[in-house]
Amino acid sequence: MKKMNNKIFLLIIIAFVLGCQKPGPVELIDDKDDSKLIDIKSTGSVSDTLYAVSVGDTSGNFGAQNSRYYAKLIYQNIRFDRLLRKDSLINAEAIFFDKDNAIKYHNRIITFPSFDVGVLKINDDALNKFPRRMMLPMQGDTLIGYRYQLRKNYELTATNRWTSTGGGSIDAFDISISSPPTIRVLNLPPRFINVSEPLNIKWDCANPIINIFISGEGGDLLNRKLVPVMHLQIRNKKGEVTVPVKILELIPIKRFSRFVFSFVSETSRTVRISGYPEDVLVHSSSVHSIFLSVRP
Amino acid sequence: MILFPNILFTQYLSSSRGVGVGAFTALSSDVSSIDWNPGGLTNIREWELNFSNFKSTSIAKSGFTFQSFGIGKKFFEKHAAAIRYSPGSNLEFIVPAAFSVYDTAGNIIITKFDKRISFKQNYSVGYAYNIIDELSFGFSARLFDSKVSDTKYFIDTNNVIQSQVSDHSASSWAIDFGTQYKINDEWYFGLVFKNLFKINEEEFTEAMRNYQLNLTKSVCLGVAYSFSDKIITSFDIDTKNKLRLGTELSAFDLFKIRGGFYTTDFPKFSPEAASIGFSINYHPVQLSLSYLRFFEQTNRRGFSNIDILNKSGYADIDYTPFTTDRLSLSVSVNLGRTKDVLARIEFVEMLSEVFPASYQTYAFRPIGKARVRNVSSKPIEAKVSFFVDDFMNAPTETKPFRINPNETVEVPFLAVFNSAINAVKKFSIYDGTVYVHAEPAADYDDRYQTRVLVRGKNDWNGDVMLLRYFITPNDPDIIKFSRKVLDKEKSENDNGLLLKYKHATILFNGLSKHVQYINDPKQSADFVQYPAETISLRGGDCDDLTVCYAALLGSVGISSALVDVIPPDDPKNSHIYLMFDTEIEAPDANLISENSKRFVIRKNEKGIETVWLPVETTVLSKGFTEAWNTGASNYFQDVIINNGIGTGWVRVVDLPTSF
Repeated sequence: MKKMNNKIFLLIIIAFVLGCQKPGPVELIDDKDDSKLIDIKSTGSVSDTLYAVSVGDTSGNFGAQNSRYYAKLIYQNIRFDRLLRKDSLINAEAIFFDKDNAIKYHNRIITFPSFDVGVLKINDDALNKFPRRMMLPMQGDTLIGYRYQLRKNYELTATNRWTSTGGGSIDAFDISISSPPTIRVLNLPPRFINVSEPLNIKWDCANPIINIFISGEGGDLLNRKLVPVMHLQIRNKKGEVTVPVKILELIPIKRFSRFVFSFVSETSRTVRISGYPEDVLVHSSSVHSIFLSVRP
Repeated sequence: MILFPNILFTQYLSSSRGVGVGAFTALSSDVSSIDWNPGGLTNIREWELNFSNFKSTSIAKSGFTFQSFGIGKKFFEKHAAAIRYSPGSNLEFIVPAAFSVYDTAGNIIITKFDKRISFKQNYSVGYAYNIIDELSFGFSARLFDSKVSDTKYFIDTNNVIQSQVSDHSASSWAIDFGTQYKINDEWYFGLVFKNLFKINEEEFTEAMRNYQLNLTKSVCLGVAYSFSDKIITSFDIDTKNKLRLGTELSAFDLFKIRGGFYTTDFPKFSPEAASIGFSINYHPVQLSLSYLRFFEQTNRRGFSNIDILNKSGYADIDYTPFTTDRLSLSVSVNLGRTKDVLARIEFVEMLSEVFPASYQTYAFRPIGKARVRNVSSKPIEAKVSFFVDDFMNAPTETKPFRINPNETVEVPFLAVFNSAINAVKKFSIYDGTVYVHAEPAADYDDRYQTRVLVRGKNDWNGDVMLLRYFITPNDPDIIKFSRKVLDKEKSENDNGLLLKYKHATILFNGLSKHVQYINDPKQSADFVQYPAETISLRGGDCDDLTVCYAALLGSVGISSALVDVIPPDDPKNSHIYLMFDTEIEAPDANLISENSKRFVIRKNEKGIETVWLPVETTVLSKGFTEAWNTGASNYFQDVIINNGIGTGWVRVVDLPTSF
């Protein structure tokens, strides 16, 4: 009897020892959930807008996203939807900062001087050359360089060609960049969205990456400005995305009364220009910006 | 959003045998009945310990998981209860972190999961009651715990997205009700109402309500048919259109193999899974192993489409659309009495009290009888045993009695007492135990405690047949007395034909000088002195003197017989005297007396007709001749004139010369 009891005890011990593992969880895959197509990128701090160059940066994000480049050739094909007004235009801008001669105040960089590159053209249209002036301590109102900008009516171009006669130490250049696929949002609601429901957005664009910049409209009535709150990078696999509630809930609806949703299809590359010491960003984008109210 | 609307899975994996058979509702008989059919708990014999493990064979590197440990107990014959801890009864899902979040430096912020949803059925209890042997009812309560860990995102003061996990939990008891009915040896039925009631202990908040485990009500009917002792087949069908078929084959007494077939979408019989298994019995231990294989492996390899979860409702969390192929191992240990009861003792009747003086007689004459019922479904051979502690060295056992199913037989039993019973001075009551054994059982199937009435050693029930057991011619005190008396009269001894006559005369007269007739202080039918006591006390009543004189005669080799007279018109005035064998053959009777009325001619032990002299010991003081005359006169009156022997109110009981 004692022998048998020992065997029983042994069996029980074996049963316990064999059963020490815990089964793993079942991983649930939601084919319909587009979350896996979405990366939430940092918008950086608002101060990054230091590098913003344009009033045409309808997303308020452009400067922050490209702040590491000191020279930029920017071409934007912009569609801008407000409640009662729709605008389409071309915005071209350029600037060549002088990185080595930063203007400081109390040892803090407040901006950079910029180079004069002579006559700068985009697709044979000359950009306006604007002097940059600044009140500097000890020097008063001072010319710190030039920036270039051209706004004109919308036109569709396959390739954009930048040419310059050169100026100062910077030689003349001739640079081309392909236009990205044009983006047009097809189904955004005209006035508002609810963060408690997934937001489905369809677009007419084949670019493999679509950026969505969400910015709050801040400032006062006379001096409105856009504050970036979220940057979503979408892997564009099917011409649409459903933004889950979990992401929409991040929109700070208590801080802003209105938001701009900017959908950006872009191409960019960097080039070297003789006489300029840094990489030059050549950027071409199609932007569709929409003003929307956001509700809980 | 996760909902649990429609599809229900009423299958349980807590028993390896149940997995192997597949259709177990009518057959469940162990602790796993908590899941299958609580009514089956009454099949637990005494104590049962149950351990279950399983291994998911369709997931690589999966080890054995300790599924459950249960204890079951049968009590008060008709009640049974069980409790089980099931750490392996978990259903856990993880929804991976779906989108990637990058910090300002472009590094991805690690998020372990978006949601972790877990359901547990760790604790369950059950109770069942046998209304009749064939019908039982039971209920079980299973505690379901639900927990959702949800990752919440927020933007911190630096405009950077952070994540935080918040936990939500809920728990509820689900109550099942089940019954099992055995119509006969061939047909078994089981009916279970799953999740009949639900008691919520803790509920999810409104935001998480969609994750609440939806324990849908259902009804499952199980039927089993036994083709023979070796094969039983069964099916289960439920209100959710699930049909299970199973068969169990007893290859040997200790080895069983089984198989099951699981279908869905009844009556389409869409195949869902198949199972095989076997079990080995080793004394109280049963080891079962089974293997369950699903035909469709989608969603059963550790990952699944979330839509499957959305469409599923559950009766249990072991068997779901996510259940993997599995190898199940169960060890069941039955403690206490483990054999099947074949026979029961319905009643015991003690046929007589025990008189120590005649204790040997109970070895040949039934002391009682037991009414035994065959409660099994097969004919049995039953033996009844009887035992009284201290007064018996070992239990007695009857010969086997064949009893057909559900029939009763009255089995008389004997008792072999030891001499310790003679130490009982007065009327007492002792415990005796009656057992019944039924083949092929080695242990007793039932037992019945009864009262055994043991009288004092001098007690007598008035039966002259028992009176002879008071006659002790071999008692040294008697032998000593008879030798002393005969030695005193040695000169008168004669070695002729009248030797026995003379010895009887001398012994009677010697006795008359030593003792005197005294009325019994109690009723003579109740109390008899042993001869040595009569010699010692120097007195006795009719019975005592008759017994004493018979013992003295026996001590010198003279055969005697008791004459018991119970007058039919006055039974209370019964009387006993004796007659002894002079060994003078009938033709020589005139040597004793010319008057044939003074003696009796009867055959002795050798078949020879000899002369017997009736002696009335109540006239002891008047000497042998008067006692002889009185005895002869009584005998002539009772037997010859009134034909007492012929009509049965006079009995002559021969006494052996040695006992």
